[in-house]
Amino acid sequence: MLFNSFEFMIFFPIVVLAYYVIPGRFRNLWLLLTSYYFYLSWDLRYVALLFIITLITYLAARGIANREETIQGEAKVFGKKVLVALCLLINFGILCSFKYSAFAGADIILPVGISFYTFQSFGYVMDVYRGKSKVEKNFLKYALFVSFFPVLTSGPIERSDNLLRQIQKERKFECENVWTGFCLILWGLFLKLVMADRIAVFVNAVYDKEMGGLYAVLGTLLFGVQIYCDFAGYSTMAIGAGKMLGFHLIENFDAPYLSKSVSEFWRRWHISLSSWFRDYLYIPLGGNRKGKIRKYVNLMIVFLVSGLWHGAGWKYLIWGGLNGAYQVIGDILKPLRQKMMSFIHINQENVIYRMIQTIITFLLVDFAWLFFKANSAGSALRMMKKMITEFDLKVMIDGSLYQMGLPCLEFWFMLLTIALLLIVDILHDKKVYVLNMIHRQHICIQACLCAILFMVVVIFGVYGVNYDVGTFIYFAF
Amino acid sequence: MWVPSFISRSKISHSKGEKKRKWPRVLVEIFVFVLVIMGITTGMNYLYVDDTDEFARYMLHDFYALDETENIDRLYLGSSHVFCDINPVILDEMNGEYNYNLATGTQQMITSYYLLKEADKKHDVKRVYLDLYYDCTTEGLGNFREYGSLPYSWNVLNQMKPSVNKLSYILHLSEPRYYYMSFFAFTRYKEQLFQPEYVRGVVERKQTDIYKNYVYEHIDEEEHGESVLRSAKKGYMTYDNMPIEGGFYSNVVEQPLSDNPLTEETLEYLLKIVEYCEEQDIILTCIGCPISDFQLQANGTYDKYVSQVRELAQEHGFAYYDFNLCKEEYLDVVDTSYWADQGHLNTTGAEKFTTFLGKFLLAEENGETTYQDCFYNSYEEKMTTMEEQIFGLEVLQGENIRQESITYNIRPIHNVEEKELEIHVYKIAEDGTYEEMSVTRAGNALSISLPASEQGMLYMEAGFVGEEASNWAKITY
Repeated sequence: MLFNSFEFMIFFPIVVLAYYVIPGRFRNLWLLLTSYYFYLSWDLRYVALLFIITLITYLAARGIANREETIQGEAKVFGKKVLVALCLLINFGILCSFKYSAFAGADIILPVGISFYTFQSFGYVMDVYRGKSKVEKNFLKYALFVSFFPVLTSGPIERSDNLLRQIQKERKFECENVWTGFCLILWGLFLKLVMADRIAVFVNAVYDKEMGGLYAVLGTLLFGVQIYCDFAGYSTMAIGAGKMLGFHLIENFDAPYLSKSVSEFWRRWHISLSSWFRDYLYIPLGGNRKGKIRKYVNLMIVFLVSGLWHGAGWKYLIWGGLNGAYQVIGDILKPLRQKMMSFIHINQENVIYRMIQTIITFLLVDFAWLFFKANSAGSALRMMKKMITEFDLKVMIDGSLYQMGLPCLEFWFMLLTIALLLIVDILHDKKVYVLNMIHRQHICIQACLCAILFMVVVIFGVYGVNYDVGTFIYFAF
Repeated sequence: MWVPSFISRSKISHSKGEKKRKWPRVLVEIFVFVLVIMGITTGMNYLYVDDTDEFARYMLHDFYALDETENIDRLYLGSSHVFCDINPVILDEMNGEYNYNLATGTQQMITSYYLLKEADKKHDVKRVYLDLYYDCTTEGLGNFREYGSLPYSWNVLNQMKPSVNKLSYILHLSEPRYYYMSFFAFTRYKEQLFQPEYVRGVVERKQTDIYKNYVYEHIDEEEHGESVLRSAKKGYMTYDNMPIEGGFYSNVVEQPLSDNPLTEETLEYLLKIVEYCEEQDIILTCIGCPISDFQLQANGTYDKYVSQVRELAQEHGFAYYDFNLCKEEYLDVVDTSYWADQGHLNTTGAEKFTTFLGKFLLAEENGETTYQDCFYNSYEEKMTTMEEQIFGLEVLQGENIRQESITYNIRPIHNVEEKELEIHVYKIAEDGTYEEMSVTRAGNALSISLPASEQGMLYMEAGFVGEEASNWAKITY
């Protein structure tokens, strides 16, 4: 059951309605049941897996807390470490056996969302181990934290100090939350159905045929936008759904393509995963506390693991490696760059300079997306070669761009929506939030704008009889 | 490099003057939201929904325009056979009551049910005559919930006024995943979204006087001349064309009916109609409007259908009169001069049939025995009793086993048992000369073969051996 499926449009209003009708003390139980039903709609076996991971991490956290309270000295530390290691081994053993079985030639389907809830639940165990979070003794509340359906399948990967804390409290009905959540869901649907799925038509045509020249350049540039709209669309809908239920979920994107460096990009893209890697991998590895070389090695490890998290394959490894390398090289060259800037007297606060930085960052990130999107690393290399050997500017004017599944008007409409998204992101970057702006208007104007957005999705959304709703990119991970 | 940053930056802030949402404000918001959606939907429907050639639009407009003094006493429901074959004006004079056709093209049973309820809402309907045309009730279109069958119901739905009855029709018509196409009709034209020529064409047609004034006129250029359908009074439509000479001709295959012809969906709604009529004290009569013997004999299994409906009629206590089983001495519409095409009577035929229908129904209502023996027991009996004749020629393009040639299978449709048939096929040269072709016989099957690359005209004639040809047809290939 996807957020953009018809089933969800029936399921979700029922969940929300019943949620606010039933007494407050039953709401967590209701959400737990509906979350399991939501997950059950994919496959019954997946539910067992979700339950096992929930149980293991619950017991591990209880065990850690128990040792904290009852045992003293080195035995306590050792016992806690053993439990964390065991939990790590089992959880990630399960995850890896599903995720990387393809390496061994096994034909196992990856359970939807396993990467997300495994990370979320292990993050909780680590927080309890570090004493950052209190252990949750109520199994139902903890099970809801792991299975909360808005974030279950594609994140954001929640933290116990945010989501679990909210689960522990009683939530009251507020029209404000329902309305804002609804607007966020609409915006998410706009990003997914109107933008991502329309751009996908062009991108898929380019990548399926391994096209070269300007097609490959444009296809890769557009894929950067597609994956952003696809994933940010999903995250926005998840945040909106959470909001309607009275939860404040963490942001997953922060206008990432306006970043002025790759490292900044990774602080603004898939924030919940990046911060997870930072807190539970980069920092335990030593972070930047153990010298430059170690810092670079740590960075490369984090990004290679991040690549592998996305899937088993050289293409993901190269993608992760490239993103790590950009940052290492960027850091090494930083003193040189600054010397050059002062030598040629360039004001680093200059708008044009910052714009150039943004463009270069986008191009670097987008180049890495080429590997991410291509069918294989070999395919990506072939397309790279063809980008140069088959480059021909003529396709810009001879109308052949419109033969890639998007006729002329639709192609330009797609570019228009990208321009709109850019404006929204620029405003967001300047701390001007469109949703807040709308919120300050008269209620009739708010309702009008919301209805217009709804109709834009209905009119321009790519859906219909032949539409495959199972196409969220991050569902594959 | 790794600055903690996953902070929700877009949380909604409320300005000082902003009022918290209260229920009355929420209701205003919902009202405005719905209003804007309805406004945009109306506009989009005007631009994209092409109902300029839809008879239901004209029929339902007339129906809704009836004034309060015009009470529909007798309602005729069914497919195009009803609106072409039954003229309510003639019936008004005969039975002194107010007769009205609420028939639409390919009307499926669910549509008949909801139109009956729509009529009965404002009128005191006393009698309902429901045509059971097998194409709308059996496999294929009889499965009205299948996506391919839905447009026939949507065409009617588009024209109905908003009401609880209409909402119920929408909710029962299709699977939930197609609801959006019922609520937002323009979404059925998604492939035309970026086609300004299409929109221009629709708008131009909607700007014409005949559209604005609800005048229906459909002109078809056919092999044997022009045929014109034109809306008349009370849901009747005149249908005239050039005389059909040389018997009927068809290039469409007739599918034999299955052993259990009525689909479950049709049966469900037929029984709902029976139940509704019982509850409302409406007398229900099912009828079979005349279809040419050419079509019925080509189908070959009409008796199966008739016997199933007869059983149902007996079981549920409604009358069923199939006028295709009517003896010639009572109703003689065998001659092609009564037909506009193989399924529909022309104006002359309609006048003849309506007059007979009026007399027949009055006699039945009054318990007279005038027509008690006017029906054959079966269609087979009718065929064996009738004078031996060829009703027409069916010419179907065969499967192209070899790419270089196309086979045409010729099937004379007849009730001949004793006489011997002969068929001649001629290729008409550009100078008008005829060249006879060899006809291959394999048992009863006759076929000719033509080079795939060749285009031209064929003349075929059929008749009894030793007699002048009774049937002929010209076909282009």
